[in-house]
Formats: sequence, structure tokens, C-alpha cells
Amino acid sequence: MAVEAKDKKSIMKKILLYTLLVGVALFMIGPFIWLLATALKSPGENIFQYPPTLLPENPTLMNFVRVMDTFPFWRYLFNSAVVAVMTVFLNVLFCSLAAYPLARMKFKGRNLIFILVLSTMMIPFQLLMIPVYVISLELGLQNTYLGMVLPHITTAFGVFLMRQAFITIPYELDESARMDGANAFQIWRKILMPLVKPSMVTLALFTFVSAWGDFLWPLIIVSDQSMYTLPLGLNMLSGTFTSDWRLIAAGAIISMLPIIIIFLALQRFFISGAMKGAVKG
Amino acid sequence: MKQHKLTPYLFLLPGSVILTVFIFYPMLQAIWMSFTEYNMITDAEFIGLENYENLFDSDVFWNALTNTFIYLIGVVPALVILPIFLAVLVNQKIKGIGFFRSAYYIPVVISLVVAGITWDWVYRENGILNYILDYSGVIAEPIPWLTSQDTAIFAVMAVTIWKGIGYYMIIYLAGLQSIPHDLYEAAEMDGANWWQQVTRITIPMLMPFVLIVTIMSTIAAMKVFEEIYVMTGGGPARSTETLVFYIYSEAFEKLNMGYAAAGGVILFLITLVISLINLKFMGKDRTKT
Amino acid sequence: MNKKLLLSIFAAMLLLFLAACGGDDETDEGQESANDEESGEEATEEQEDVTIEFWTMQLQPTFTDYIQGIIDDYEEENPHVTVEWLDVPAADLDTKILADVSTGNAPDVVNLNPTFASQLAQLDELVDMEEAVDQEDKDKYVEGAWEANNLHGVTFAIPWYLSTQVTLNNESIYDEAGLDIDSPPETYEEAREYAETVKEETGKYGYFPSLDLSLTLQHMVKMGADLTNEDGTEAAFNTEEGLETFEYFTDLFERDLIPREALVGDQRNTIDMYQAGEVAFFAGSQFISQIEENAPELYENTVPSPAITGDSGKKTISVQNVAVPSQTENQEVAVDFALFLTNAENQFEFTQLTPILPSTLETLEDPYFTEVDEDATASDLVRIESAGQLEDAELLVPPMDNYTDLNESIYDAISAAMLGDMTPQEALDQAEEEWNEILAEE
Repeated sequence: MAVEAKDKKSIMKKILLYTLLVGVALFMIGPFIWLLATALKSPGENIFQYPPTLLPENPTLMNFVRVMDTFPFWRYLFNSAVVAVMTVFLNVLFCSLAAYPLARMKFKGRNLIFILVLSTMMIPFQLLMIPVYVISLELGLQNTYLGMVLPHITTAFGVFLMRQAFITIPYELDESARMDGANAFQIWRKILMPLVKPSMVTLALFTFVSAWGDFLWPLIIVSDQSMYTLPLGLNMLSGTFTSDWRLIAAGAIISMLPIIIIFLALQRFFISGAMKGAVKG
Repeated sequence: MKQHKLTPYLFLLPGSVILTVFIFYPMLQAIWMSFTEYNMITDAEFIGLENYENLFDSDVFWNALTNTFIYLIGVVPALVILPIFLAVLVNQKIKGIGFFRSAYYIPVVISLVVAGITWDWVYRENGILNYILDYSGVIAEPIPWLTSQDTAIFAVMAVTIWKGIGYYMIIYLAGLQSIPHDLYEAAEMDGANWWQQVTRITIPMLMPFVLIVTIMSTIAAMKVFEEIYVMTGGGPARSTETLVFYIYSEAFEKLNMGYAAAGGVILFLITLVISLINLKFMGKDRTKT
Repeated sequence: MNKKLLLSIFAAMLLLFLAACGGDDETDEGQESANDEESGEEATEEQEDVTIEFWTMQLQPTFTDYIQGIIDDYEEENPHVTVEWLDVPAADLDTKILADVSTGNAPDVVNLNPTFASQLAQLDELVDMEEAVDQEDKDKYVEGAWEANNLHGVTFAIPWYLSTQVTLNNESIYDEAGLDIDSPPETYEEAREYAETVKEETGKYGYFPSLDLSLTLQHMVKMGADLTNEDGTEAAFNTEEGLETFEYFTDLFERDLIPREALVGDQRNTIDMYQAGEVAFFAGSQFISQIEENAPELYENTVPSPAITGDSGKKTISVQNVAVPSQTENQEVAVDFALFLTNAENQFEFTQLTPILPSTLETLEDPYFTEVDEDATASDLVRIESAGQLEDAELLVPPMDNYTDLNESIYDAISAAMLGDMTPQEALDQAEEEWNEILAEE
């Protein structure tokens, strides 16, 4: 009897949980559903009908094909990929390096440096744009991948997130490693980095998303159309005289796909229990 | 602890170089600009505190500042608290959780121009929200959510919250993952129930992440721009015009870069003070001992 | 100190440094070739190679072949010239060009937003076409179009294509409301009556006037108000006509005869609502291709008609332009290319691709702009309607110093009136006061 009741209780719990999950999901992905429906609609259907229709009458994948013909799709995709990969790698590296002493060492000026780093987020980019552009021109960064990458490879958010992640790790770990003769770099590389994987993955994901979607800065620093990135190309789908929402929607979905794929691939780092046995180290 | 004097600085070096070149130096220039009359084309001319005086005299500036604070107060608590629940929810080990996590993350990556169109349908007078409220008998007259001075800013806030929840959820999720499982096992052995585990382990261990979410969402709220730009353009009658929106239009529509920079410096100082307060009260970390 | 740590940091820094230097070399080369160009200009007769940078506003991909064709033709005629074309997103062109003018990096030929162009002109950053273009070439353009780019006697750009406002009417809503599609509203008064009828009969909105951009000012001028006195030193709109404009929109708004979105919306809202079949008529000839793409059924039901106007009978014209920033080192070639781009032949080809009007007189004489085919589509009708109005059309809001401030002031005032925060008269008084302050500024 008791076992049965427990089963029932856990089934009820599951139903409740799924209802909650699905309910929130609907709220979150509503716009995405419309986007998908629009991308699948064929010519002849009114996109702006109200109330909106979510089921395309004659679903078609043609819009996706047409997007790829609209601009040098593969070239821009390649540019975006180069920029995003470089940015993610360097940002994660530099931020984790900088965060380590800020979280776990005592030294002069630590708090000041931390606050200075944080303060870089507090001024709107619009005001920094022209000075950054001047510097980038002086460094010869115009029309280069590096020009799109460099300004984004140390972010205050990244340093902050990694610092908070390092803070949660028990101190006994460093000390026992130090006793074994490990130096600071080895402790960082061998002991701490594996333990902050969830935060590292989060930072990598967020950096990828912002590098992938960055619009204004690439537009400013690049004046050579063959260096355009995907968002600049997708923008062409709505022209001065035209804006076919089927194509805009298909383009938006194409640009979201890599993010969703990466997100799903990184799932395994968010699995509960990954940290099991950490303290025993 | 023995540690070479230079070790911390070496770790900090690469990041510092980048930040100095691409942010600190430009920031100093922006601060300098705020004391000049500068249109980005002809040479800047030093005018002392005139930009600041003009700002403080401007009703439009005070209105933008007030709206920014309303935004801050409305958005930050929601973005600090709601994602915790969501993170706990998607931290369950059940089938299909990967799908739900991605679904909740979608608003972060979907373009606001696209989301704006669908939110228009939610908010318009014959829209979804009014339909639901009317159907359930809450209202008699449809509410013009985005087109009335009284409601527009709150309607835009909801979009900011919708867009931000998934972002902060991931941060919390990373935080939850970082909590060593042994702690729970030990607590269980000591006979602690679920609630005790949450209050004694989860929440204290999550505090570093609550701090980062609080500071990040505060900064984001202070700098809110895109939602406003897409949804209302600052209207009706400037009721949704925030500080960065104001700065943007002064700088790039009217070419008053010096004046805009002064607004930016004020924004910077306010954000800095709020963040320092947050750090002071929530940032007590264990390295200090 | 730990070697590995040092090594990896230095490796990373070195990598970055080298890469940055690599980039540097490229620019050095660029600068060298720029120097070459300079010396080339001194000896134009020898026709040394010249490269000019040409920016358009979001014309790719629809017009890629057309523009590339013009560039190819030009390069063929002028073998020493290379034209590098960059297509820039419209919404951010202002920001990009500002960054480049600010750093001395401006392109040689560029299609600018008219208001933004006048701001650059105010700062002397655009070549004066009165001096750079000879009379013979000038005479080829429609006079009103040429003068549209004039600020304090300086013509800061060459006119490119034009459009006049045309009202688009949704025939099915007309039918539903029992109105005659063959006599659409042509005055503000008629628009109000039609809006009343549509509202009563169908519950939909009849009219959706946009107040975005300079449209509020245009409404005032069409209703007969003057914006400023002759020498532009004082506001002149606080008159019966000005008041009439404010009262008109306040009345429509208060009686819910126009969508509330008129207040917050940019023009996108108007087109979205029209496409949703919720608005009977609006001024939107520039959106006709969008309607065809996104709401094909509605496109079939769309009937263009002459623009709605007030007592003045005035109609509005908008002029796209091509400017040459004064930073250019190749002014002569740049202006020459701009003239080539906007010549009669090339503009005629452009107008075949999309419903716009040419700014060259010769092109306008073509029957393409006057004769209605039997199987004319809505786009054809828009073009012909638009061309027919050209004679009466003028630039209602001329380039003005501090235009953005002035426009903002009017918009704030009319919003306050419409929302009932002020009476129309109070709002008008406030705007007048603000205008006088702004106009008095140097």
C-alpha cells in the first residue's frame, strides 16, 4: 500500500512538473513559433493577418534556400564562425586567468582592480564607439577579423562570472595542492578549471551568442563587403523597397540554429551531480 | 600562504591590456568629451561643466532619469528572483529537460525586431492580453498597453523580463552545478529535510551567483535601449524614454556628443554607486578572512 | 616564477601583437596607394589610377545587378577609375558614416538620409554641388529636386530618385463600409468623414496618419501653416492653420477614429496594420512592394489615389540624394560618378525595377510615367499617380539648422495635445516658444 501511494505521489509530481515546464515553455517560445510558421509559409499567404495563423497553408522550405541565394551566404557564415570561435576561445582564456587572482589571492589593489573591471560595463557602448574606432584604425584593424575580435576578448561579465565560480570552490583544495608542490598556474589549470566547467561553459555560450549576433561593431570596423558577417548579410533581407517577412524569418532561424545546436551540445555540462566528489579531490 | 608578489598581476596581465586599450582609454576620452562641446566632426572645445549644467536644467533629462529608475525598480527584482525558480525547475533530472532549457533560452537569442512584432499582438487593443483579461472578467474596457503613458513602460518592462529570464537562469544553473554534491549527502545523513537543504546549502552557496545576477541585471536595466527603440521609440509623450535612449538620440541624431557623454558619465556614476552598494552587502566572500 | 604561465601568456600576447602588426602592414599599403591617388589627382591628364569608395543604403540584393551594371559601365568608360561599392544597412548608415567622417575615413560617394545629409552640410562636410556641377548638368534635373538639397545657398547633394505621397486604399473595407472606392478622400476633412463611416459600419479604422519623422510638420504645411518666417529666425505656425492641424489630430485621436499607434508608432506600424486589413487607407506608396510580398491578397484589393492634403493643396515630395563628402581626395571623379549614377538613362532603368520617380526631366517624359496600361498592377498605378502629382509637389519641410530639435519639439507638443495633457492651443504656444529659442541659437 505504502509503496503504491509513493508511486502515485511521484507520478502526480511528474505531471505537475511537466505541466509547469510546458506552460513556461509556451510563454517563452511563442514568438519563435510564429517565426517558424512564417518561414515555412509560401508566397500567397498573408503574413500580417490578424489574428495570426500559425499553420502554413502550403508549407515550403524554399524560403531557406532563397535566403542562401540572397547574399554570399557561405562567405558570411565563414566570417561569422571565425570571429565567434576566436572570440570565445580568447575571452574564456583571458577572463579565467584574470578571475583567479581576483577570487583567490590576496594582493595590493585587488578590490580596486575588480571594481575597475566591473566599471567597464557601466558606460554605454555608443559613447565609446568613436574612440574605440580611432584606436582600432591606428592599430590597423580595419577590415580584419582581429578588428572584430580584439575589443571583445576580455569582458567584465566574464571576469565577474569566473570570479564568482572560483569563490564557491572550497579552499582546502588549493592548500592540499600547494602542499604537493603545485604552483599557482598548475593549481589554476589542473584543479580549479575542471571544477568551474559549468561557469566556463556558460561564459563560452554567452560569448558565442554575443559574438555571433554582434551587428554594430562589425558594421563600423568593416568597409569591405567580403568581410561582412552573417547578421550584416541577414539585414539585407529587408531592403529599402522590400521586406519579405518569409525570408526575414527564415534568415532569423538560420542564424539561431548554430546557437541552439551549441546549446544542446553543451547540455551535458549542466547535468546534476557533475560535481560529485569534488571536495574529496 | 606563500606566493610570489607578481603572480596575481601576471594572471591579470592579458585581460588588463585588452581592457585598457579598448575600454579604459576610450572611457577616459568619453569622460573628457563630457567637458567639451563636440559633434564628432569638428574639434572638441573645452566648456567646463556647461554640459552638466544644461543636463540638470533639462526636463527631458530628468524625465529620462526617472523612467530609468522606474525601470530599474521594476525589472531587477524580477530578474534576480524568477530565474532562480526556473533554474531549480530545469535542474531536474527528467526526460526532455534539454528541450525545455533550450526553449527558455530562446528569448535571449531571438531578435527583438521579430519578438517586437509578436509582442505587438499581445499588447494591441484587440490583442491576446486584452482578450484574456476581458474573457476572465478582469477588465471591462481594453487597455491600450503600449500606447498609453500610464502603462507603456510596464509593458516594455515585461518584454525585458521575458528576454532576460533565460539568460540569468543559465547563470544560476551554472551556480547550482558548482555546488558540491557531497554537501547535500552530508546534510541528508544529518537528517536535514528538503527545505533545510535549500536554505542551508543551496541559497548560501548560490549567493555569489545572486550577486552577479543582481549587478548584471542592474547594469542592464540602467542601460536599457533596444526594447524601447523597437517597441515604443520612447513614446507616448516620452513616457518610455530612458537615459540611454536619450543619450543615443543626443549623440547620433543631434550630434551633441559632448552633452551625450555628460549623460553617460552620470549614468556611469549612478550605476557604479548602486553596484558598490550591492557588492558591500552581498559580496562578502571568504577570501577576506 | 612559473615558466609555463609566463610562456603561455607571452605566446598569447605575441600572437595578438603579430596579428595586429599584420593588419598594420595592410593599412600601410592602403595609405601608400592613397598617396598615389593624391599625386594622381595633381596630374589628372595622365589619368593615373583612382579608386573611389561608393556607399548605398541597403540596395542589395534586389538592385545588386543594376548598381553593379552602372559601376561596370562607368569603369569601362573611365578605365583609370575603380569603384569599390559597399552596401550599408539603412538604419545604421548614419552611425557608420559619422564614425568614418569623424576619423577622416569617409567614402567618396554616398547615398544619405536627407536630414542627416543636411546635418553634415551644416558642418561643411559635403561638397557644394553648385560649384562642382556645371549649369548644363544642373539643368537636367527637376528644379524642385535640385533645390531640395539646399541649405543656406549650398547644394549639398545631387538628387537621385523621388517619390510623392500616394494614398493606398483597401477596397474590401470600402465595400464593407458602403463607401465608393472610386472617390477616395483627397482632403483632411474627407478623410475624417470617411474614418467616421468606416468606424461606424465596420468597427475598423478608416485612416492611419503617421506622425513619424517630419510628417507632423508636413501635415501642418499641407493645412496651410508656415513653419517659420521668411528668414527662418522665428516660428510662424502659431496661427489658425497651425491650430487647425493640432485640433484635427487631437479630435481624431480622442474619438478613436485613428489607431492609438499613431502616437508611438513609426511608419512600420501603419504598414503592419494596413497589411492586417485593419485600416482602410493610409499614405504609403513606398510600401507597395512590401504589401505585394507579405499580403498578396490585400495587394489585389489595393487601389492608389492622390495624396490627402489640406487647404494649401500642397503635396509632398521626398528626394533621395547622392552626396560627396568634402574629405574625398578624388572630388572630380566622385562628382562625375555621382552624375553618371543619376543620369537620365540610369535612372530610367532604376524606375523599371521599383515604383519610384526619376529626378531627371528627360526620363519623366517617357510614357512609362503617364500612360495607364489596361492590365496595370497596383504598383504601376502607384507610379503613374505619383508622377502625375509631381507638378504640384514640393519639399514641404526644407533642410533647416537644428532640424532634429525643431521636429522633436513639434512632436512633443502634438503628443501632449492628443493625450489631453494640454489643449491644442497651449501645445502650440509651447512649441512656438521652443522653436523661437532653437532658431535664435547660432
